[in-house]
Amino acid sequence: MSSLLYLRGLKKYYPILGGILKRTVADVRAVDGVTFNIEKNECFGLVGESGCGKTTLGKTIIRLLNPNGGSAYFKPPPEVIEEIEKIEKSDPRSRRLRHLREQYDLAVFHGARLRFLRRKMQIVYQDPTTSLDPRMLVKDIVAEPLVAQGLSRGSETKKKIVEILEKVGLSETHLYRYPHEFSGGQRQRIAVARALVTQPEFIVLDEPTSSVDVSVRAQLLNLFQDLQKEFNLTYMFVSHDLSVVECISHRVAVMYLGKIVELAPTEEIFRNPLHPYAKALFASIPIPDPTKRKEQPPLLGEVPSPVNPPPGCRFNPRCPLTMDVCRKVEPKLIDVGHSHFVACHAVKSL
Amino acid sequence: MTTVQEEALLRIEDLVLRFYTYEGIVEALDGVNLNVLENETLGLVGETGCGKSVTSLATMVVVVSPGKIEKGRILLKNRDKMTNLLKQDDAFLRIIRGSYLSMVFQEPRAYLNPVYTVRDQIAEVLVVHKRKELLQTVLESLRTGRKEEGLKGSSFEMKTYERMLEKPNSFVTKILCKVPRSQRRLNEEVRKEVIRILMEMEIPDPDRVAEMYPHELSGGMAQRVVIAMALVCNPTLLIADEPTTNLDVTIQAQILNLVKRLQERSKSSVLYVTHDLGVVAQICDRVAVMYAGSIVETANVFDLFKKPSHPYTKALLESIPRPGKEFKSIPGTVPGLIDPPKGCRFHDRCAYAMEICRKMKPPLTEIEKKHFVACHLYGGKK
Repeated sequence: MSSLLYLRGLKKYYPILGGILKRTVADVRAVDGVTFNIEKNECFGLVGESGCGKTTLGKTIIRLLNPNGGSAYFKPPPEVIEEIEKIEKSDPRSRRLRHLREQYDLAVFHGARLRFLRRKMQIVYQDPTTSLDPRMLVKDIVAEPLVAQGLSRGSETKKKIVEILEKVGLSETHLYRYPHEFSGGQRQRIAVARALVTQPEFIVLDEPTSSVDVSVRAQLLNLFQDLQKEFNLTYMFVSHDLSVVECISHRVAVMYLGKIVELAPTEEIFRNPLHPYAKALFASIPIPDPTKRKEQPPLLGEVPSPVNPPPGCRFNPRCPLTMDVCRKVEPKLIDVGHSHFVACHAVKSL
Repeated sequence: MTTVQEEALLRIEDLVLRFYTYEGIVEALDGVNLNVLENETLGLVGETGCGKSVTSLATMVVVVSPGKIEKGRILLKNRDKMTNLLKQDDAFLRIIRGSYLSMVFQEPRAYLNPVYTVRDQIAEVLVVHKRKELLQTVLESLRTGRKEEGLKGSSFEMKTYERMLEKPNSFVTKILCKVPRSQRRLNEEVRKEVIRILMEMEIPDPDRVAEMYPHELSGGMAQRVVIAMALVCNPTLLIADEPTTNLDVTIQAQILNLVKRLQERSKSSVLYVTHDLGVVAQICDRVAVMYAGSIVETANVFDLFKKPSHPYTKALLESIPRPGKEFKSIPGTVPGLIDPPKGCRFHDRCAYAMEICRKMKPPLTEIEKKHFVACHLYGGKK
């Protein structure tokens, strides 16, 4: 398997403006140096509490937001990855690296090049009622990416739309309707159709099932899995619903205050979470089984503000295992075997 | 599990509620029968639009036009008597709401008034429902204070408070209340009470939080404040309408723990409305499953998860994602309630539908001890 996306220290800060001159007085560090790769044809799950930067990361990867630093290489050949790693260690300012970035790095693309890549990367938002224009017919909603990208014209467009609508479980009869005429599940299908119509390779699914009911959720998840097989798609599945992520993802990353704290294959991470935050997060899922009740909430307190994150490990004020080093040094993501990565001082010492 | 007494605190009998809209008559509740026993947590589960929230609103008797309660009774135990809430006047209901029945909503930010501080909003509940008790405490402390100083008789301040207690509606009292600082001690007492309830909600630094405005609170904190408002008068029944739906799992676990602990300590009952079966399994004693405006199954939480009987409950439990299994969904969608299916409302999605299901609505029947199901499949037994 080769990487579809290779992120190196990706950063996205939102400025806080203050004073009469509206200068930047501080930054909200929504995504603060994220490094991982997404393989082709995998479903990469991203979990975390609200406000930890999941959605910002998703949007930054597909360049709906411009990153403040770092790079996101799109489809780099394996030898290029090796070369990048080598150069970054020896000479991060070399011309060769700049050349490679211009060739592969989404973070520096602009103009026609970026426009072309937009069709390869799409996003499905959380709430279809707000992500679909209420004044547009379904046929126009789904056709919009085709028109914007100049991919088809006239009767050909309609043929393509009908084809894609049938793929997501709608039909030609739905073409001349407005979004409000559909149920929540169907609306989300329209949003999926719109994302698929340009034949993308990578789709960010930003909490696509959080606004629908349990029974509809299962239908949508099945649809996502079928589409992935059919179109060889790569997903990044952003969610706070851990049970869904457990079922659909191949690998899962846990995010906390703009940082990845743990990354591992799904089975491994759910069976054996190592980071104290991941442990608490997984233990907080209400299990649908009355015989397995929990007595104590696993985690106390709330997420601190990303404007002024705690020094050292960002989890240290809530962590049960805090040591002195945690308050000073920020832990790095290290490999603990079985392609399981953790950023925690306590785990390192084991 | 706590011992459940066999006495109903709230009994909803055959409640029919309709909304008269321009599109037609929405038959939102179609004969709901529900019992909330004393000292228990009852979970009310169902999909969106099945009537869960309407049931809880009807229980508070706050159904507004175009909604109308057509039929049925809502009986609440009040001083060992069952009172039909639908027959009472507004003055009585105003006393009941907040002190006997109170409600926590899904969206805490929408429920809190943005221009008042947390303290003011909790204090309002106290001043409305507990004014007498608070005045008495103030008087008590004044009396002991004077006794310690060795003074006899009563001061002007005491007389003012006595007057407030005895003749709250007289003209002179109203004038007295307008005098600045005349209610200083009462306000002080209220503030103490507010801080106490905030501390019970495990809010760190309650003195500071009490002076905050709702926009300064995080989601979890706002929900704690709303729960504090609901519980400040020790109601006998708390209706919680999806209180944790918009919260993160870690915060949800904290809130669930809080609700459960408070319920056990104050020996009150909770009607917990949710669509999350995981939450139900964690905190409820009994569960009622609702579908398209009626209760289809009621059982002990252990029985329901072990032996779901109604086809809808079975399907609902199967649609919980579990790793390694294919996602099962319920075919079709929730029917529109303007023109609901005849007979059993689940029949067109049901795998076991029979001829009779299309014609007759099944009644709730007891198939096992305290396990009620509304399905024709179980019509033969008992």
